[in-house]
Amino acid sequence: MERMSSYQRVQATLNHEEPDRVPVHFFCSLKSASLLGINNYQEYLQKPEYISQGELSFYNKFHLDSLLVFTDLCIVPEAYGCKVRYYTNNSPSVAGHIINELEDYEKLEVLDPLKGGRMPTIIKATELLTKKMKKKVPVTVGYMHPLGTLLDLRGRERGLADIILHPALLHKALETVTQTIAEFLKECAYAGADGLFIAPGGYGGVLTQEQALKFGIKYDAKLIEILKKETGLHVTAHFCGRKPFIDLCLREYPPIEILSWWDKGSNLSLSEAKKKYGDKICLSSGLDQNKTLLFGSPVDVEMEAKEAIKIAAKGGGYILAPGCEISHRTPDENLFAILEAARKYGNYPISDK
Amino acid sequence: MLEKIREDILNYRREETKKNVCKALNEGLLPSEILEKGLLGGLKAVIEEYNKDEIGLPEVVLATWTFREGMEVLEPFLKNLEKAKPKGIIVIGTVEGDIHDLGKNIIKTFLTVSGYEVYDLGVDVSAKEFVSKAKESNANIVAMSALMTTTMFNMEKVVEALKESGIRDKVKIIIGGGPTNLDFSKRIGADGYAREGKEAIEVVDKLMSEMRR
Repeated sequence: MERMSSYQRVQATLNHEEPDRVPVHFFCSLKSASLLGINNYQEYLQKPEYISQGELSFYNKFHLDSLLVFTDLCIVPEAYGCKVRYYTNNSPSVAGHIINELEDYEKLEVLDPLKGGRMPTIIKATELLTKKMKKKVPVTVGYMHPLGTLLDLRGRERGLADIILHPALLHKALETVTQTIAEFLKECAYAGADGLFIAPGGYGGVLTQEQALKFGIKYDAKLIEILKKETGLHVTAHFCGRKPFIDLCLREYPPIEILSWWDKGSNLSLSEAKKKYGDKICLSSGLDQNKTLLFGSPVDVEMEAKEAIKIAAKGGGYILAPGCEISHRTPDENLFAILEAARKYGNYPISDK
Repeated sequence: MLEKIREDILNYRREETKKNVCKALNEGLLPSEILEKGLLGGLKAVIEEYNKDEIGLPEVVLATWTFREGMEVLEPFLKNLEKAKPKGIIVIGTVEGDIHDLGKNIIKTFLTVSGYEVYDLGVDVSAKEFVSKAKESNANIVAMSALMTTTMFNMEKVVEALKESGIRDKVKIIIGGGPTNLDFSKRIGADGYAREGKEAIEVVDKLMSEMRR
């Protein structure tokens, strides 16, 4: 019998106190859908009952310590009127853009999250899920960063070119999109979410540091500031990719509570992160979603988890997690192995062996 | 004039590029020279800056657009002459179910600049389309991109389709994209994997030399 509920465990971790054991987190909305028996992902995404029930099924199967509602990256672009292509067994993608002429940038308005596209679906799903979890397991809601969203409204190539050609238009539109995402996530918070998860993308390899600061990080920081001020919830900053500007982002952002990134595939190792940020920010990483979890054996997962715990868990402030969303093809036994490893090696106080 | 064209590409001057390519042709410069030393010279310089992290993708996108504008003027003249033989023929595309094209487009630019003839099938490309274009173009390389953990498995379908069509031993397969890695490329039976543009050129060059042996 464990001493703490998942909620208490994550709370202690957020407070940089040692909980009973290392908490575990991972997510995959496609897997949640299939566990519920909904094999058409488009259908799943349209009903809040499906999404909340799907996440509950995911929890009932894998008993992880926190749940994340982050179904896809098309929610805001679709609410703005972008054409979205849905697939039966795949995440949807933005297939048609709404900023086709330069003057379209200026037509953007802040959307009402209670009316726009599938934003109300996610808000309702959050409400249903948090009611079901009854503060036993924290529920976080996630969404993409403002620049990534705006690039989807414009089309990636054209949007990137506009950084150089039409920066003033971009800034104005970024203010609006930041506000829309903030309104959306605020409503999720009011619906009962326990935390918010922002995916800034990382920018490295795409933008120079100067461009990232002006067009990306500035608006991420604004979004985080609004959300923290108006909801008081903890914020996770998730960085995708191999060359994220994590140091730069963390320097510019208001204080965040959780750093989530791909330690196995990016420019920041878990040990370096522990040294640099371990006493201030909770670290959420350590497992390779694209290698070990997907193609390794449960023993490989156990060994990777053991090593990660050894590096990062001491003193608290560590969540055993993959660096991004897991593939829906990740074998269940590898996911079971994560929790087993946390129970085997992650009991506090952590042993040096 | 060639230096001017090169500078036009470096500074994303699309209209000037077109005008200066026309001027260069009127001055009697060889189209192949305008391409190599002017347009491609400029684009290569931009790619080098990107590889050194001195510029970002916005600059690469603009330079590529400028290059394309210049090529529109130059292409008909190149067709009237014997073109320099490409280093190899590549069919590239983002696999079925995936419509991310930014990375794929950048890789295409890198490969073009490096001297390959590249046929871009776009995004959401089925295994059948990859096979059909590889056959039609006598491709040496099939290059696939996937940006999602859900779509990366469609790469395996392309490998299988190339086998079934009987041309697997005539083409080398390279993959790339966020969730993929070298292990995955081996697992699905591809011949190579690259994380980014510079590495893609190295891997493709290596695969081409293996084919020549």
